Amino acid sequence: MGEGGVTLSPSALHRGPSQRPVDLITGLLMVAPLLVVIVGVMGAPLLQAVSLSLTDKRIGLPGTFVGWGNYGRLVHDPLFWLAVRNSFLYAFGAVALKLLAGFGLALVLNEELPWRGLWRAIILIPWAVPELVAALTWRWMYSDTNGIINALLLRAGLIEFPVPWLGSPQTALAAVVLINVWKGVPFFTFSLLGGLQVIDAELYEAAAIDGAGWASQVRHIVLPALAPVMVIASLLSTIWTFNDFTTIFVTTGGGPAYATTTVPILTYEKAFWNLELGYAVATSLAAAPVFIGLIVLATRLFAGRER
Amino acid sequence: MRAVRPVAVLFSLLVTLALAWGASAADRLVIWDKTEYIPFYNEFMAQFVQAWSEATGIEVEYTVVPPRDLITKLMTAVESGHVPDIATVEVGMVAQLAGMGATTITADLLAAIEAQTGDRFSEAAVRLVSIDGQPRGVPTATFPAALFYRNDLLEAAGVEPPQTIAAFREVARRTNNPRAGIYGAGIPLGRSGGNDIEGFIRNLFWANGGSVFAEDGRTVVVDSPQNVEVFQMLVEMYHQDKTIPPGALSWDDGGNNNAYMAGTAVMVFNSGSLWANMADMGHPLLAHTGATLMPAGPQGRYNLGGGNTMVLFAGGNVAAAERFIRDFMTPEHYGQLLPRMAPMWAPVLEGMKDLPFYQDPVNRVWLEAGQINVNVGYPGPATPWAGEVLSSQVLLRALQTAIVDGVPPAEALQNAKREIEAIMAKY
Repeated sequence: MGEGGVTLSPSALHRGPSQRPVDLITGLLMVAPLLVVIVGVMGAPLLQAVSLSLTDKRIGLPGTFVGWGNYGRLVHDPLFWLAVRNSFLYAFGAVALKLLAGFGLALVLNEELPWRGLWRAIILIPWAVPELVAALTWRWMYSDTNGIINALLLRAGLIEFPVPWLGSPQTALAAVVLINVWKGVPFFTFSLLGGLQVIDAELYEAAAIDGAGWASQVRHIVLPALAPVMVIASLLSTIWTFNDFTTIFVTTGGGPAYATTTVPILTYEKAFWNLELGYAVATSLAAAPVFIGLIVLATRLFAGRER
Repeated sequence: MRAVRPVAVLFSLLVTLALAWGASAADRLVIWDKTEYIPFYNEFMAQFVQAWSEATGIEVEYTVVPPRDLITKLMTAVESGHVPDIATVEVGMVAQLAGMGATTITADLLAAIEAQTGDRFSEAAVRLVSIDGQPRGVPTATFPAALFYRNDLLEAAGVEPPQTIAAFREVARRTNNPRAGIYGAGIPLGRSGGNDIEGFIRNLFWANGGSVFAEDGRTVVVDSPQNVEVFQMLVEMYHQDKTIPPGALSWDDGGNNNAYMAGTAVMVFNSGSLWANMADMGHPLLAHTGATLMPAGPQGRYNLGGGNTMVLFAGGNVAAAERFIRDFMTPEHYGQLLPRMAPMWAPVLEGMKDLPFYQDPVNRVWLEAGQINVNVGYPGPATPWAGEVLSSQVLLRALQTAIVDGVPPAEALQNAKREIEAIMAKY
């Protein structure tokens, strides 16, 4: 340190403000409102939910403590495992497709296109449409009696009879995945477009001078640069998609049979059709480890990017 | 003085709050109503509520909720203890709410309305809202159901409107034309949370001599041979006859209405809402539409009774709620509403069956249809568990496994029996 400067000992460098009582109190006071909100809005209901899941509570009637009984019942409930399987297929299938489509569209929209602003606005429309409206519209489009998709396919001679897209166990899950993809692609497109726009143009020029073609530039420049954005967008989207309720509830209600029953749909049915609140909450909480893992991963990635 | 002033201010504040609280309890009424298929109902009720509030000085908080959301909203309200004073629910919910101890017994209120109007509630309407012999709401409408058919297509196929279940299947076969996008039987088979298909399956069970519960209301007989026959027939109609549209597996309660009005279904079962809606919109197919009673089986004709009921919640502003309902159920108000709701609504007061609409021979079917209505627990009493079995769509899910997963009908119904017994064990 120069003259007149302050010389810090190594121990002083490592001593954080928390070691000073006044700073500690100030810090605690400053985070206190946030703590109150988190504990009050999230912590207390979560604890209540956990305690509820340990009872045989039914709506309108008092519950009694059953310990881990509901969770034990879940383990032996084939419907629960089917819902878990469907949830994973729905979430990971939709996220993979959204990532691919979003990446492709981001690459296109990053180019110097005529009316580029207009295209970007159009791509944003599915994101702006309310989920319920989107689900109802798609349900009509998929209809086998008066839906536009079957009408076009029939007119084109590609099918002989209308296909019950939402009514067949072979196609229903894929059909609802497609709705989620349509709705979620703009999020990926614009997240990745933002990432593309911060890549230094000189990198492309240097690569071109070295003889790298478009594919090579995408592979060696774009993908490494976008990797963090892709991972974070995928993690967030996985959490949202796993929890998606409206699309499936409105279009198939979880059917036909149980072909599109996911964990949120099963939770709803148990709570409001069977009135088994304790079991429904246990169903919902059983998926919590997946979310906790994803949230921890996302938080670490965010923290890594901030550093 | 300084010490006295804050105390005085605090005292005034407390007095004001106490008065406001007292006033709000006595002069406030919370009503949750359902969105009705015919929009006129909601317009009429909004105007009535406003006029009633101005006339009585009682503030009314009036909320209209889609029927499916109303179930969720009410369940949440019962659980949290923040119930409305009045809710208009479909009769299927009456047993469940009574089972939770949430609603009041309304025998005195029904008697007061009868005394006031000089009319009598129909026995069938009161029976639908009675649990253990005690009325648990005020019926405002019953929904007569019928079989709607395209008389032009039946005529072209040279067949008469079906009067039996066997004839229904045959007419569906004869009029079926999937290549033209026309299916003989528009039966909604989707898990929408609606009760149309649950009712339809029960109607077929009863007509065929089966049922879900025995007369004691506690013995589950859903896996009877008669019921297996019904399941087998529906599976065959779907897979072999191909008279049910494949997409019906994702239809909700409006799916059959939409298919009929789109001209893609020859026959559908429905309440009079379809007729009323087509008349309301001047639909061209109405001229080619006929309606007849539910087809009969070996044991006769049956229909799971549906309808609207105003229920009053225990602990609420019962005095104001009773006053509101009494003022609503008068010829000046209810009598004005009913003709606009026919034939979706059938009257619950005997005297109103003399309305000009029901004197037209074409419309007599709606009054006759009301005569075959039975409760959800038939041949036993309406019970909370019978209500839960209905709202859980146990029968539909069993039927779906038979249609979609190829589970033999007998096995599907045995599975349903286990599920129903598990539901009953909770009561």
